[in-house]
Amino acid sequence: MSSLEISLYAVGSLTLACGLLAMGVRNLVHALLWFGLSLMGTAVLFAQLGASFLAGMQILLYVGGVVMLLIFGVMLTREHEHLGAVREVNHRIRAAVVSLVLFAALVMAILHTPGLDQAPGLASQATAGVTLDQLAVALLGPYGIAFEVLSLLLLATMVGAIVLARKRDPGEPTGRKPIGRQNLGKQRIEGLASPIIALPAAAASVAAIATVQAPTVAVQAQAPQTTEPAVSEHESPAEQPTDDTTDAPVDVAAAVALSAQGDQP
Amino acid sequence: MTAILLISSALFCAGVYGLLSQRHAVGVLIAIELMINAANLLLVGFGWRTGGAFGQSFALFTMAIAVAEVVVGLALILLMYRSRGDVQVDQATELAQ
Repeated sequence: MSSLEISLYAVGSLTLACGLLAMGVRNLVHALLWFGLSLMGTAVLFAQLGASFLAGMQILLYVGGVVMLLIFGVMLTREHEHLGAVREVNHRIRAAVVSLVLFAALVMAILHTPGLDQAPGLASQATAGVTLDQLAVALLGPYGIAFEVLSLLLLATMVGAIVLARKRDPGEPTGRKPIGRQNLGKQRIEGLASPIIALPAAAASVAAIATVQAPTVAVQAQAPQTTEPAVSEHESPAEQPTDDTTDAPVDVAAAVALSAQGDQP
Repeated sequence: MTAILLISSALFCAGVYGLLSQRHAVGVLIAIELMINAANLLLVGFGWRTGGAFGQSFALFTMAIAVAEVVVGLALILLMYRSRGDVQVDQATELAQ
């Protein structure tokens, strides 16, 4: 057993212990702290495997972002402590049996797979790790389309989270103009219009990406015209809540639909 | 490589246990994040074994998708808390009645 394997097992068992504590502790805030430690252990494992950029991203995104967000979630929804965070003992024993059976099956499958530890002639490259340059070239080269679609996913997530978590009780003071029954209907339509706008924007910008990456000269001559509406469509859902005129979303939707049709080659 | 596979499957099974045993909706989200984390570890491990940048690229994509999922999940939990007054996943049985 090499020294790398020993350290992997050591850090991995610490990570696993923190993960199990996060799943077993009754207090949810303590569970979140253990979960953060487990994520840091995973970051150390990434660093041991030569993925130092991913280790940094893990700490930034998960420990800095997700755990903080979940702590806010616990704080916003904590008036039910009498029920407890975990289920009764009978249910937990059944859950433990299910996960142990799954783990036994996985371990048997792993141990009966031959040739896992024999690196196929790539050992020197593999242990050197992937440099940041290689990662950047891979992200923006062969996986460029997936990268752009991921940005659209983040936009849709933002719009969806705002639409879902927004308070919409008609009685509460919102600081806007007073809401009557007709205005309430218009507001609902505006709220629905933002995901409706996001879908044609997604289609149009995917089409724009496809035309930009096509190698022919004629298509590249069209490319500045096709990328321009895609940029303005990205901004339209963000601008929309500040619009005071109720006709503006309809116009934007019509413009997006027209440009989406015009983008099709 | 066996070490990575064993650690990753153990983490995944810890996540499965948490998913089945948690009652608070935020606890269920933590369990799902633990399982996604195990899958990320597996991606990085296989990328390390074969060389090349595909494993780390896919792990980055998975990470971004997991963060987006947490954001939408927390918005749903907040909505559930506003409309029901609790976030116990075994108490929300309106659709089953």
